[in-house]
Amino acid sequence: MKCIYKFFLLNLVIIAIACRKDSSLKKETQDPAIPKPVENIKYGSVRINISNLVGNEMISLNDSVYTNTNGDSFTISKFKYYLSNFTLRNANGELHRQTESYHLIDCQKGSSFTMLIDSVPVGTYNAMNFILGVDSTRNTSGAQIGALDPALGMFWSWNQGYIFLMMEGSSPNSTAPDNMITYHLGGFAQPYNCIRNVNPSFGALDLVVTEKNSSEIEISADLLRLFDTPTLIKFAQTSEGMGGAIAVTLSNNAVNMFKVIDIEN
Amino acid sequence: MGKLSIYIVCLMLILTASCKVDSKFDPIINEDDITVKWPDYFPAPAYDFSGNPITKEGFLLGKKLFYDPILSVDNTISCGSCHQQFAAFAHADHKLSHGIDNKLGVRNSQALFNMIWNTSFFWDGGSKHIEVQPIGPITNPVEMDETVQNVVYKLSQRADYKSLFKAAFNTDSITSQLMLKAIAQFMGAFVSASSKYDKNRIDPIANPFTEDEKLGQTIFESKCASCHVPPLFTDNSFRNNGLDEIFSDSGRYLITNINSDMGKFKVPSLRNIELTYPYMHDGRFETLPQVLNHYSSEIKQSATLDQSLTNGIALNNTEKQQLIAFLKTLTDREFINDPRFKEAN
Ligand code: HEC
Ligand code: HEC
Repeated sequence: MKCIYKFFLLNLVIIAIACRKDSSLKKETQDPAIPKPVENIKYGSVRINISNLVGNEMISLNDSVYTNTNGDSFTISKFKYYLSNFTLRNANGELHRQTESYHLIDCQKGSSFTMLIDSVPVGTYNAMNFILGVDSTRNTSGAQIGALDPALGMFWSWNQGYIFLMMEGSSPNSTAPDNMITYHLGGFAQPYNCIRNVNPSFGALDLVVTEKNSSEIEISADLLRLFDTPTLIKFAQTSEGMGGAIAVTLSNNAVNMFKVIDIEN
Repeated sequence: MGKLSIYIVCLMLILTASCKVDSKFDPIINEDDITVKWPDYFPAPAYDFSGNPITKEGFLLGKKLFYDPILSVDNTISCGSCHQQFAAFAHADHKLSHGIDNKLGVRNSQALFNMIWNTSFFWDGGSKHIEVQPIGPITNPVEMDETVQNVVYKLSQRADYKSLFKAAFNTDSITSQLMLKAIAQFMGAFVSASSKYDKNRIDPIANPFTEDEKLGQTIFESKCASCHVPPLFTDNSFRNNGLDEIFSDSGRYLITNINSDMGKFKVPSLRNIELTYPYMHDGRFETLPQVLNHYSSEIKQSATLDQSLTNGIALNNTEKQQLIAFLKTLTDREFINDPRFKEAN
């Protein structure tokens, strides 16, 4: 009997917690975000297209030789990164957050350059925000699926967590074996947290979401910025970064890769 | 309101089906009952199966995976090769783990039990979640040397696994997520709470300690329990217990890159300690007397040494014997003989 009683109490406590969570969530989505689906609100979707570039050129893996700002030549064998938690903001400052918003952009896979944000309330938006990387919650919530499937090879197995950005290649300036350059940015604990918010400016452009689902945001990701803004990277000195201080420096640079180059409505 | 009642029903279902705080913890094992139970003096677990409700089918799939060398690159090594039930799922008599091609690992295989209370995994806490932890050994070149992608591929080529995944998760597609959740259902069910210590704690009259065990417990409480906190006999923290002056394995520092974590390792549970020799992260001590000699007279000074150990722990020979008598009450024979966890033959 005592056992059943306890068990019941435990349930009550958990229910209380669940309810609290529920109401606080509601609050978050109402204020300042747009209220959740109501009959008379109309929705549309937004397509995001990413162009992965080195300077003005589309990235081509393995064969093409590029030059960084320091003058070091290099080739690229892998370039992939996570973009997550897309949020759009309208003129009134109201936010639309995409739920389950995890995307792995992989230069080996053209289909990964396009993402869809759906169920966006119809209206005019003038800013966006996303995370380069994966929020700490999803780093520690157990086995994931979809873009976060650890089978995709973007998961550190011993210091566990996602690799937010992976760039590998080679450069004659690198002193590492086979002249490799290897940068794996990841880690979500201070002082080496590599999660970064990115807010590429819309400039004078507006995003107009309608039920026609025709709006698109064109974003460029220029790999050269990873190696020069604001910190200049010389492959002779920094040929490798796997988490830690170098990854933090590179993550600060990586934010500057992203630019909104066009919006079509 | 409708939402609330769904919550209630779900919670009732989950709690009744998967786990139980039991004030009259009944250790009698029914092979068909995979309910995860623990005594009421255990704290709330960190992993409660709420996102991975334990089922008989899921548990059995997890067990098959745990004992199947298909998880290694050349199909020779299973989780069970390095985690043996008779040794409380440590690797008996192996200082450093042996993996693929008999390659030597750098660390001593950890015992596996009460893992739903762990807030991190591995000696350095490099894994934060029971579900993703197995990615470590599967992909480690000195352990199973596989890729997650290829394991999923190999499993999906096997008719027996197809039907087991179907039975457990009602799906035709085998994914890393379901594989990992099944292993978590199996390993998560390893609860060791039927030792003499537990029986004495629940009913000291029916299960009395000997004089030595009693005195040993008193010594333990004053000298060891600050780190090895009962009833789990760990506080889940990382500490330097004075093994080295210079660290060949940087321990927790490898994960955090913070200098003050240099040479710190997870405080291990001391449950089943009689069975899990050799001891420490590198298996340097063979016996419990060696461990006690370390604490009483061999503590090495270093910048990160735990403050409470600066002067060692004073223990005379009688006290050492009594302490060992108490440590042996932590051996859980019911756990190591539990037929639910045995490799099927
Ligand atoms: C080659 C031997 C070997 C194999 C095979 C192996 N392990 Fe381990 N296991 C170890 C070692 C060594 C450690 C400690 C690792 C460390 O601290 O770096 C460990 C640690 C663990 C831990 C952490 C326990 C804790 O309390 O933190 C778990 C859980 C675990 N292993 C489960 C598994 C599973 C599941 C598999 C199969 C997928 C497996 N192991 C395969 C040797 C092995
Ligand atoms: C300051 C915290 C602390 C205190 C106090 C402490 N220990 Fe430990 N103990 C640890 C840590 C940390 C480890 C693991 C160290 C490693 O492997 O690097 C450990 C390891 C052990 C091990 C080996 C466990 C295994 O699975 O390999 C035994 C046995 C042990 N301690 C017994 C004791 C006893 C008995 C006492 C009291 C006399 C005691 N400890 C006091 C922190 C402590």
